[in-house]
Amino acid sequence: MSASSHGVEIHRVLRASPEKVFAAFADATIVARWLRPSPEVQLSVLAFDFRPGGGYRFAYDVPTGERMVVAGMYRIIERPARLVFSWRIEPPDAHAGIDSEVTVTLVPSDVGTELTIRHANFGRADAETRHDQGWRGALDLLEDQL
Amino acid sequence: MIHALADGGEQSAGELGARFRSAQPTISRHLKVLESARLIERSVDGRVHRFRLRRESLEAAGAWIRRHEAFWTGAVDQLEQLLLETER
Repeated sequence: MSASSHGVEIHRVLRASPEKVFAAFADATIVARWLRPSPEVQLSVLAFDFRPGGGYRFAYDVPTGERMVVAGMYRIIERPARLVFSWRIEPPDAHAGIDSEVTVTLVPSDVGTELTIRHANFGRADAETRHDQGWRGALDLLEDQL
Repeated sequence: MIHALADGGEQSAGELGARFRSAQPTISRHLKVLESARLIERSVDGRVHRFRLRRESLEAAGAWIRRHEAFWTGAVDQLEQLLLETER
């Protein structure tokens, strides 16, 4: 149960160089073409300042009319190996206000790049649930138990 | 532990201890962690402490994970597709 064992982790081997894969995260026009859960969801890049400490804001429009807005800050940029950014969904959303962090790791491989995306959940930061220190632990436990 | 409480009923610390054949301090510590994580609730009846699963907490945590897992899986699918297209 390390602090990094909760959340989501996705692995994929991509047939492109780490430089090319990294560029897909670093350029707003490229980001808009793929960083969404499915092609039916429209991504509008509302803000994009790709530098350490710079912010981003993405709006996701679902065909049913709902909109999800995510915002965060680029914390670590190590081209073309690592990228860390915060991720917070804005209200109104069932998961609004939950602080989380995405770590993208790119490792060169024979065919191209081994991509790993880790998305760690740090729980709610808002006053309403500040007493709920449990989120972190809850997610650790959930992964252990399920 | 969560599985042991998953039927929704209450169980005492003693019952849970017997079930896991663990020392009572280990069980108590584990229950305390689950309680501070608000995954379970404790009720005290004299000397007997009973525990119950807070199903809503479990579902909220699971929903976040499922949603983001689906998000990133879908996104990486599209990234893969985009890289293939720009290759040509």
